[in-house]
Amino acid sequence: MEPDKPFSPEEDPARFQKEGALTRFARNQLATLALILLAMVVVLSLSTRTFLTATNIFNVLRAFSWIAIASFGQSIVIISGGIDLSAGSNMAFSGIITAMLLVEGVNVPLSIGAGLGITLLIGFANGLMISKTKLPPFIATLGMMSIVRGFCYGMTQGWPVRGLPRSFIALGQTDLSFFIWRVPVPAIIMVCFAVLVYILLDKTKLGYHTYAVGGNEYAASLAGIFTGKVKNIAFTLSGFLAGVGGILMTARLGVAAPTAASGYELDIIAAAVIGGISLTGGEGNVWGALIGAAIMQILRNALVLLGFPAYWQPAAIGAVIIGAVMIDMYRKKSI
Amino acid sequence: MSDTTVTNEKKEPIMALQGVSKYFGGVHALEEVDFEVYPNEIVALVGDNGAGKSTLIKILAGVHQPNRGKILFRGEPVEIPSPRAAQALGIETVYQELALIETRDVPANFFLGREPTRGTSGIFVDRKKMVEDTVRTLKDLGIVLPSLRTLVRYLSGGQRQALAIGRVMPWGGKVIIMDEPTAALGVREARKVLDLVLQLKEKGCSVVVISHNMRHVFNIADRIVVLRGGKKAGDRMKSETTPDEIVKLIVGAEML
Amino acid sequence: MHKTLRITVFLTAVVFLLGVLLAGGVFAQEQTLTFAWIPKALDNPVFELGRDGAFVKAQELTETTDYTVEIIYIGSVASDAAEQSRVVEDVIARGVDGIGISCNDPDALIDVINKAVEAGIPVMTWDSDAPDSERFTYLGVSNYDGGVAAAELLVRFMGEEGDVALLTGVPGAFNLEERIRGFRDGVADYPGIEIVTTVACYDDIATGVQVVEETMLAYPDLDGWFFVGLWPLFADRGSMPLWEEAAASGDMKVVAFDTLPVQLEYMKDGLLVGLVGQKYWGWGYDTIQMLFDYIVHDAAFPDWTDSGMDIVTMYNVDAMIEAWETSDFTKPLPPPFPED
Ligand SMILES: Nc1ncnc2c1ncn2[C@@H]1O[C@H](COP(=O)(O)OP(=O)(O)OP(=O)(O)O)[C@@H](O)[C@H]1O
Ligand SMILES: [Mg+2]
Repeated sequence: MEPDKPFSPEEDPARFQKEGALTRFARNQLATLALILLAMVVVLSLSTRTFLTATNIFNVLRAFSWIAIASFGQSIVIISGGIDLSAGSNMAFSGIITAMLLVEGVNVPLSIGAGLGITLLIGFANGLMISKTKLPPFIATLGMMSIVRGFCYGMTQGWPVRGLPRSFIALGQTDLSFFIWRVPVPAIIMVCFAVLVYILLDKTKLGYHTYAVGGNEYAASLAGIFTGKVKNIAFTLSGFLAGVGGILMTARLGVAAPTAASGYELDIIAAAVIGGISLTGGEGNVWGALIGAAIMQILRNALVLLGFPAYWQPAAIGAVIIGAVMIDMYRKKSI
Repeated sequence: MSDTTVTNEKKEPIMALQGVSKYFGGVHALEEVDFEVYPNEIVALVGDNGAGKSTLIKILAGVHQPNRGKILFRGEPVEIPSPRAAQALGIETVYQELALIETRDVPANFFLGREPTRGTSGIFVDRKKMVEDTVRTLKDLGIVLPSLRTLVRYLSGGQRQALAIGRVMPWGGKVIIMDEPTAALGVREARKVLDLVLQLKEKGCSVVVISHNMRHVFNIADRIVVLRGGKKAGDRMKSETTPDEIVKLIVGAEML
Repeated sequence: MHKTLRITVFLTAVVFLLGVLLAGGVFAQEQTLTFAWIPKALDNPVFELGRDGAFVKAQELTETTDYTVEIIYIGSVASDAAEQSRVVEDVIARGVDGIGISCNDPDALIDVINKAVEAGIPVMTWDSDAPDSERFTYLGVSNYDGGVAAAELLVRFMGEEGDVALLTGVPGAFNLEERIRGFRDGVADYPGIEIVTTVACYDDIATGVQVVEETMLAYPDLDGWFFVGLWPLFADRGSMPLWEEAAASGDMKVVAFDTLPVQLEYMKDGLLVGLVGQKYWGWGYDTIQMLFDYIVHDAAFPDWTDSGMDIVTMYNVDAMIEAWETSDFTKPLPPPFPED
């Protein structure tokens, strides 16, 4: 990037686009993030004999897939200038609704549909509170986090819902064959949603408007964008994607606990932020969130594999969150 | 009110405000203001800071709704409930605050809110067309920017203003409103914008320009409307007034 | 001078109160006693078992004595000392006859407990104590002893040497730390036993499953586990394939705290060899009896009342399963090792 070299309109726009793609990579968050991730993988592969085994890799993949999926939704919300603290509660709630229906003998697709439908509605309610009554997202979703958690406790009376049919659990525990690997279904679903959210944010009009609203809400409204509608959709999608994550988690564990995913909202937000999605809105992309979630999970995995004392782990995780964001800020400054 | 001399009798205004008032809580930003824009003319809107100029044009642009009074468009009473409604009527606006998204690149800002889409679905953005059209328009206007990929955050104040002005051009608006379009510009760039305003008039558009620069105003305007404390203090054809008189109207010295 | 005055006033008040109570006993045939039974949190299912015990005891007392005993089951949703203090204040304002509480914090609840006692409401603690408060007794187990018992169970099944891993919940939680301390002391006599790692799951099932599997990868030759709580065992079979395989093979022995039905299933399938459980049901059942005795019969209690522990192995697991199925925990459990 040479900002002082003026852009010449005579240039062929097609050539400009190619050039853009290159410069984009050079200063892209993803490059730094991918490097951090790669460094972690190399160090771990050398220092443990188990990190690079297929079992462990897929274990990690499975474990972070639901956090990642929820963080895709969170990314949409943060890019639109909001924040969704109800994500963790939504994860638990979709799992509980689905599990309770399954235990009642309702078939699998219908139960999943109900679980997802509920969290979609919760997301929509968040959106309405924020766009219509102008509540700050932090407050609206903080309240919703507590309301939904209350429903989790109330509906289960505190007991985990167990005894789920195998056909449902298969969703979380099956591996599909891909060439020589057997890839866990949740990881495949995660990649599918990453692609979908990428297309939504990067290729659609709604995506452009989401960035605009988060970048400068007033300017977006002056340009004729219905900012309320955009926020509504963002929160609705966040609710829905948290629901997807919750159902995969429930299928993986075969149990829906009312306490499940407590505090996950912070992991979900941290994944997005590590991934370069600015909390001030208007910036970042879904691949960042994906890598952010991967970094968090690999770190947790590493601490166990390395036998790092459990009592010190929170300190290590905090240091890595700060470190990753600092490296990224340094990179931003240096372009 | 005695100051108001309507001299443009032969034509009907393309747009008019009649007895428009706008309050922000206790602040009377506009009071009983009549304002006309005639076809194919350049109106300069002048007044001190806080006189109500931006508020007035934001009513034309659909950003604010008047508390009292009527808006006429081609003689018909209309409501302009949103910026989108104003765009649909052919009213294009360059805002004083520029209304750019700093975290987005040049084409995204150029087409902000009106991104072209591929096919008929209206869902997928036609990025190629965006880039090509942006390049073409900037080239036509002689606006030089670093790479289009640059985020607006990294553009200079003048580059941003050029972008904000440039992006309203391709839409074929009949009424173009510019709130202090030369504020951040160097001498040469300001000259270019004034030329652009004249070109727009040649093309048959009407232009409402807000400016604090009397030289610019007298250079291009056909008519000058003065606001003072939210009220209309004067409405003069350029040919019938002098910068001195306008300045007096602005500061209210006449009344002393 | 002032002190004597205060004591006089206090004594008068006590005598007056006792008089009212006694008079009530004499004159009113059907006197109602309302007890508040306050768990640490409403989000933990084991407390519901205690609640059921409390209701059963209330029913028994109502049927067999001249008193109608009512239970108020109330608490903060999640474990939170401040919120729990507020709940106690509410209960005092409502004017109950006695309070049984499991404290979220040994110190934070002293004030409200003393306030209740001042207001003439006797308070006892169960499961989790506030020793410096004016409560009249504490019904509970020593978590330390529980840890020692878990160590003994593991040694018995695993033998006197082997690599052992620990799974805990939230590091720093007092009861968990006590269990760990007991366990460490319990295995300290066996130099062949090494605790190779301690992992934490922050009371989260998913994290529990994850760290157990990761530990199995990092230490594939593990000989034993001590689950300080039951978190990952809530997950369905198939969630921890590596752990299950090792546990099923018999090469790795697992002991755990708590005796919930999910764990009993694991034990029936041979994946768990020993369980150390608190008498959840007794938390309610015994507490209500003690409050009743304290108020009605003026009974005296020691500072600490041991509620005892259930030790469950394959030899007595069926009795425990039956207790759960019939909701009748009144029968004593058969011995865990009949040959002893
Ligand atoms: N959204 C708003 N809320 C409250 N008050 C407002 C708002 N917009 C404008 N005002 C007030 O209305 C009055 C007129 O403001 P306006 O922006 O129209 O002035 P202006 O003539 O454009 O001034 P300048 O030359 O400084 O741009 C001012 O007193 C301003 O504080
Ligand atoms: Mg202004």
